[in-house]
Amino acid sequence: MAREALRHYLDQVGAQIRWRRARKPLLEELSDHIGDQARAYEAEGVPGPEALDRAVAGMGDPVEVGRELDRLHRPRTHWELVIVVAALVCAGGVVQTLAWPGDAAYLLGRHFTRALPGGVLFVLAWLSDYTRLLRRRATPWLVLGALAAGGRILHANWGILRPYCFWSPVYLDLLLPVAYAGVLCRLKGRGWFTVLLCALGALALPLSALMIPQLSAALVSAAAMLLVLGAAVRLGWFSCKTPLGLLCAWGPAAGLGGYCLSSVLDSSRWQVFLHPELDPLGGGWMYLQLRAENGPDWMSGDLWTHGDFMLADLSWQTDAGRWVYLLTALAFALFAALAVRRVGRLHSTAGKLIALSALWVLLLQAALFVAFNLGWSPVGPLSLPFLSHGGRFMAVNLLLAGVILSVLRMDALARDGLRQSPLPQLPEGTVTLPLPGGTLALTYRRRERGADLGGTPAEE
Amino acid sequence: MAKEKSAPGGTGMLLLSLLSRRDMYGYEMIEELRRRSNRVFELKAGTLYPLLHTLEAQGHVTAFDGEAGGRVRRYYHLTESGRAALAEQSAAWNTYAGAVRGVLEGGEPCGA
Repeated sequence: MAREALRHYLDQVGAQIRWRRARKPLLEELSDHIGDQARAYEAEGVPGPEALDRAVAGMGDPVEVGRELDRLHRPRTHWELVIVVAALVCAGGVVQTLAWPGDAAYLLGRHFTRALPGGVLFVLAWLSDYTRLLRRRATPWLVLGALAAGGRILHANWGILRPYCFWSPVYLDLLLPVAYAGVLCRLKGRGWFTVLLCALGALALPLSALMIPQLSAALVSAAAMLLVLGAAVRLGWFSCKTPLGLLCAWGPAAGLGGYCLSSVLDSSRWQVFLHPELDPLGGGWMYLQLRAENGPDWMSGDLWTHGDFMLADLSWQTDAGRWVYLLTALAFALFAALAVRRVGRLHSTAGKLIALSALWVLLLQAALFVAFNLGWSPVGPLSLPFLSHGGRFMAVNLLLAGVILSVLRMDALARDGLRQSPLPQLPEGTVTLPLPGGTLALTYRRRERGADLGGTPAEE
Repeated sequence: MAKEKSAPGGTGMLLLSLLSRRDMYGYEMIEELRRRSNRVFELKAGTLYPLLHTLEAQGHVTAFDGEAGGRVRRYYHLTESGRAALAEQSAAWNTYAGAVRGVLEGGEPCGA
């Protein structure tokens, strides 16, 4: 009967909460409260069923409670971000028709057809519950391990698997930072040494991308992970001093980057990048074309519709010069500003880390694409998120945008993982305190179920 | 009603004050409030949780899962914003309470 009353109460509260995902955690909290109250009544001598009845009765009007909780827990949809993403996808179609005049219907059809699966992934990710990644301790580790191992297997056998494989390992590398952020979410308060290990992990995880070789994917993936790690340190996630944490987070990358740069500084490829005029008809030709004030003029002959040069082609075709790059940078700055503003307001630090990981992958890709089209990137681009026509890049990038929206949507229900009880935890062992005329030794040991705490103070 | 709860001397201020000492979960807060007010404040759970979730939405508290006696409980933690709100509300309440006391005790107005 008492159990019936409890179930009836929770059903009545739950009926008022319209957001299905919110029901379970909210009802769990109320149910725990009723359980605590019933146990307190039982400790006062009230029989079990009556104790539960009294606890339920003390909860107040279930309809009123349910309505209040419903008002406070609604999924948050940030339409401005959805609109910006949709506008960028549409702009991609327009940009392609302007950059490569010819069969506009074909280009538009190709772009939007390829965007369709990405759109489905975007909506699925947006409406999904990202907190599932964080609920169990092992899940983020498993996801990260699966992505890293999957990438490694694909990379190692790419020559054989390429004809049969829809997804290149490069795309898996772009998803690594989100799983990495999930792992960071499980490492709260672990101190500077964990930061150092995480930094080494961020450098090691995308190394398999070099096996294709795909340096750009490795760089974008590693940079996104290190930036998220730095953000976690800044947000106090590891409970270490910020300067020390940042040194641990970025020091290894700075050292490795410096070493690599010093070793390639004299290479002909690097010299051509820095001084393309030294080899104007060879390796320096592309850089000279891209860096030209009025854009490249390679299309005066054959039509070149290579997606990597989309902005340079647009600049040349429309005579817009550097405005193309400025407008592109502004569009992504708007997207970044909106996203960062929303992410900064999240209650959950874990949510912030997940959202930032996805955001950094998108922004780094955009920055690399613009820099390459300006002739100022020694490595090739991946894609211009949402605007490039590559279907798989589009799918990955829209999936990442969906992850950001999912984090914003679920914030009301997100929790920052399981922490230790806030009650002080005494370490096992003996503490000796010096006192005038002797010492005081305090011995602590963990209390077994049903046993008394064995403190044995002794004065010498 | 929400305004009344977040006003100086309202239930919101009392909850912030409880959390300024240590992190607590809902049931603990009701018990602590009852104990420290000599059973004057008997807060109903149905009032407590919507108020706690409002404070969370305002950024005054954050919630996290913690273990208590082998069970997982949703603990609440006072944020810097919550600490500032508590200081502001406490100051306003002290001014108000002092004014009421002055009227009741019939004291001479200062600076008159």
